[in-house]
Amino acid sequence: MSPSPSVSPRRTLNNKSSYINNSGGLVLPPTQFNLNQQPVLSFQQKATFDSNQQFFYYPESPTKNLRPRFNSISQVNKGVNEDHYTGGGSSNNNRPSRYTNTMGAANTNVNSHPHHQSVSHLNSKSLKFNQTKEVSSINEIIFPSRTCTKKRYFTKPIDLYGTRSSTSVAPKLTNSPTKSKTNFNIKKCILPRSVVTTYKLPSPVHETIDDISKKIIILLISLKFEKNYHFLQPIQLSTNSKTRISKSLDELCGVQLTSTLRQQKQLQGNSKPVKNLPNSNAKQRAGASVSTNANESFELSFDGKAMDRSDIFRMVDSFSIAISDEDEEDEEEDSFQQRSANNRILPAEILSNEPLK
Amino acid sequence: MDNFKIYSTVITTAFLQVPHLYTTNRLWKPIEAPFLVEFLQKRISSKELKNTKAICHIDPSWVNLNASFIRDDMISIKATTDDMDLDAICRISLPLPMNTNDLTAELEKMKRILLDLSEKFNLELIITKEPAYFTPEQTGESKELCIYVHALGFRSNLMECEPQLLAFVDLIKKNGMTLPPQHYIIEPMELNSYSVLPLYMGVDMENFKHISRAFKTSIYAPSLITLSRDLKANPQIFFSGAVHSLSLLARKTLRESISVNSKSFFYRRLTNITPGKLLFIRKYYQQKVNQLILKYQSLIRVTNEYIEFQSISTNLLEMVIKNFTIQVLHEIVEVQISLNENCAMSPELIIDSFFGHTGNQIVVITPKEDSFNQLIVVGNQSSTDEASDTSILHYLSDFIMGSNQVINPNLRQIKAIFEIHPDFEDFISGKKNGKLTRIMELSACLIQLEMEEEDDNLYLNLVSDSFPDFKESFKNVINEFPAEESFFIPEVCHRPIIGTGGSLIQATMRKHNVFIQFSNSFNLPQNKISMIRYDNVIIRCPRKNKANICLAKNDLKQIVQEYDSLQSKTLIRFSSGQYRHILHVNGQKNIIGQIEKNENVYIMIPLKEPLDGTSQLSIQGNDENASRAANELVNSAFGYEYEFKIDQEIDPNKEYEFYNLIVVPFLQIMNIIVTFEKDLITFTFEKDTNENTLTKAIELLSNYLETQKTKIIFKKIIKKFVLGSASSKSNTSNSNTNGNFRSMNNAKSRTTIDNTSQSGASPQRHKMPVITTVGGAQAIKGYIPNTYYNGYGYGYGYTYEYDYNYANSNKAQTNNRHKYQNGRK
Repeated sequence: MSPSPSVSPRRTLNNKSSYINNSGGLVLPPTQFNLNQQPVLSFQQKATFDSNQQFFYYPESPTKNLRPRFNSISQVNKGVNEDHYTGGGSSNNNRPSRYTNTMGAANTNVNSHPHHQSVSHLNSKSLKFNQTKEVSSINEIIFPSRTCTKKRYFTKPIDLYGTRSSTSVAPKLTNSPTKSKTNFNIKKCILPRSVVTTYKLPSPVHETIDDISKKIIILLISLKFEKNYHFLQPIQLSTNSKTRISKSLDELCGVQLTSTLRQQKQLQGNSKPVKNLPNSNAKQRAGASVSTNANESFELSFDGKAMDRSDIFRMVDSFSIAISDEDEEDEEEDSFQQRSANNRILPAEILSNEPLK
Repeated sequence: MDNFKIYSTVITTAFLQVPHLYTTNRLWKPIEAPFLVEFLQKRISSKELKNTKAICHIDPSWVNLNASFIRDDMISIKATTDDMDLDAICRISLPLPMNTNDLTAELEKMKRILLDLSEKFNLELIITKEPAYFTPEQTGESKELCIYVHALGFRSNLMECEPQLLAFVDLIKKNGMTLPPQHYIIEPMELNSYSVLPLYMGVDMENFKHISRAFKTSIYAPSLITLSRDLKANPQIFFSGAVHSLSLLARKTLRESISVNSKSFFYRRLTNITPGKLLFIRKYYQQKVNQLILKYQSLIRVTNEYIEFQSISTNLLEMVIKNFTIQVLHEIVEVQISLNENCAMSPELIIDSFFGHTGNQIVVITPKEDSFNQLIVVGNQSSTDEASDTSILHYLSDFIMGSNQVINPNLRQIKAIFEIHPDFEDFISGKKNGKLTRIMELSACLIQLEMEEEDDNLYLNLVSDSFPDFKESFKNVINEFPAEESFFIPEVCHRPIIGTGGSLIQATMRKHNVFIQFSNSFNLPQNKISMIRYDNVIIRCPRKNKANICLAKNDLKQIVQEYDSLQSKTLIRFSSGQYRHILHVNGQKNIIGQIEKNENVYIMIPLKEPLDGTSQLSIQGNDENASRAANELVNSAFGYEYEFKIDQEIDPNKEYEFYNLIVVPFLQIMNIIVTFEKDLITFTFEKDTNENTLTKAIELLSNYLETQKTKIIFKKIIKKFVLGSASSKSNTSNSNTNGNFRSMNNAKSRTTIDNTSQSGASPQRHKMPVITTVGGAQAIKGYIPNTYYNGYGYGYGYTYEYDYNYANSNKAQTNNRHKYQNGRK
């Protein structure tokens, strides 16, 4: 990726500013050294950036003179580069936060006025750098390019002490009389992103698919256990067995407190589309797997009858019929009493293994 | 094409085959890896080695291998790799109580399903008579026969299969009762994305906890590790309970309370994070990431290229990104070591120096060459372990100043790269860059602050030519990083803490040299099954003064306690049905936040549903406001109640029937919340419920009670709930049920949302009593919980642990699993 064109001119401009300030008191590097740097500067932008830093060094400068030069540099930079944040004066030049909440309520202080002073650097940040953009899919988003590896990994060493020969550094460090006085200026190069974008999506990211081959337990429950659940623990409205559900609690929502026979028929009619859904899934699965495992057999958990896989899917096809057969014509109270009596008289082992009616 | 290599530690497990009752025989193989053969030869004979089968994955590219036995049947293997893949072999083990003596018949029933699971998820499923691969918790009471189901395979496959395996075990086993209901009833639910899983779980799993308690149902959901994988099939959640209608209701309630289809999702990415740092986060910060995911109900997904976030509100998204930056990115540092050009390092030197100790938490990046003079080290700024130093400075000292005496004489330059949230630029620099300037004066170093247009965060570069100077400067820099703690204090207390004109808070901030910021949490999203108290107070200071945060926090709590004793409280009658009703209304309209905001009060909603019939809700404020808020809350969020006294207690054996015929149908058909305790039945219903509906409901209840030879002997309608103001003396007795601020001292401020309303410990109302029937009939036992679970947890454990070696997490997982089984003990 080529670097952003807007970055290069700023650095060049900054370089010129440094040269201007050199005449104000910085020790000029030797002319010969400067000439040697010229070819490098013309070839690599990075070299410009790197060698630019040496002009902020103050070797052998007295401490008292540091402050005026520091301030003068920041003033000049402030005037020359509006978007280039360097030097001091930050307390007077608050920079808006890129992460300020778009809704102020979450960060609104209960008493913003009394202690406004103490948190002014937070409250003064504007909201203009945050935006929310609606997209219908994550694929529509164009994210910034990734430059971290190029800029942060295996960067070339910086020449901290100006002139440096290719010989070993260790003896020089230990013997250098100016080491304790060496001081550096802070280098800031902050180019904030103008807008921080949050994307608003209508559905969650990384949507998954309905993979029936991984729904082993769901199919097992649906094919084998669900009917037993409704047999062992029927769900209905009090003693009214006509309200007994066969699949979902939503079936109770349609129950009328004073129901007539016609309404009952309508309810049964309305529930048919729901029953078809498991069958379509099962048929799809049957087409995929019966051919490979048609001869394999296994035992079911409750009634212990041996059945092969094709029998299972035949049972599924007749699922809705089996449900209809459960509609009892006996009187409500009598059948309920009989079932209650059965619970008390029969041992649990027999009851749990009772075949389906 | 990348021109670098990233070295890191990989940990996996080898499982040896043990005597078993059944195995799917999909992954067992003879031991072939040369390293493992050599390791095992020291322990067993060559002949025995040939007959031993194992499940093991050792990539040929791994180097620097080490192995040790965890148990006789498990070997922990650590190595160094340059592969970014994180998958490793691990296992899940589940006990399966056997209440029948016919073991062979039970195994036959299981085989088909086990084979299917094995095939579809590429796992080995094995059933043993002895507790292989883990040590079960010793429970002296359980003397029953137990077999063990184990799943072995790659972690990603295990995590995807885990909820199904748990549900399958519940399908097979019986709960030990001698009368119905004897079986667990499992109801499945499918989601259409893993990224909404945190939303369903709730803040710190509160949604799952509430549903588990209220509906006596266990919830088996995928673990949070699945969020970082690219799984394609729909995630599955299973609800397992002994009462049929409650399992169905648990599923319906969770789905309808979250209602994903009606929400918008807000998404953002951090794109310019270096690959070494991303790998380091995925390896060593998974637990912290999981905590943030649960605290903010948001997706945090760290891939090889970026970090992505998804929330249901922009405020939540900002909060989760900022806290992730502070708690994760701020803690990690990258250090570049440059040697002189005439000196070179080799990959062998790197591996030997940095990965010699298997416990090192470090990632190293080198050029993709045999000889190089630069490398990058990624590590923690500070040590994360009390026992051993895991800070990057420790590893760098060993490497640079170590016994080899090769690096230091040739050290050209060392550069640390810190990542900082842009909001903290002024904080880290100080006034006129005073902080950074002072650091550079103390020792020879250069500090750069840079942020390119494509960067999401600010980068601070610390450059030095000598390691001692670097070390000194490094410590000074990290001491200036922000340390922050956030927690909840009721908004009604903010004003007295701040004081007139800010005088009080200014004094506190000056006293401890910290910065304190208050915000309100009224408008952040709620749901219908939990009350979320978001952090609304932040205390911040430089890391070197981190201890002051605790002192300042104690000062604030002191003020809160003093203010609390001056406040008056209005008490409201509060039943468990009313609790569900108010949460439901609050999820729709956020009525609690509105009343707190408008009336300047604090409504102490209990964290858990009250189980005692005499519970009281407390509203704190001044006399006038608290009373007005109480009436407003009752008018807008309360329903009416009908209490019925019956002439004998509901038979515990028929509880399931009462749920199936009365409690759940009444809720579905007539929107009446029915709760009961012994001989007291309570209806909670909307104020505008039709009178005919109520009459019909009472008639239906009477019809059912007649079948149980029981009748209603007393009934009372309750329309007034405000009990009036309470004096400070009566506050003491009410504190047991409504909580007080003193409980804040016990709250976890970092990993949980602080909530000062803690219900007092109360006995489980629906505990099944032990009854010995006259005539020598068999004793009725309570439900037997699953007391063992030693995997990674199934998603809603309170303390989520991510541990490669299972022994360390057995205890925590067991305790948490036990706590929520069927909502009772």
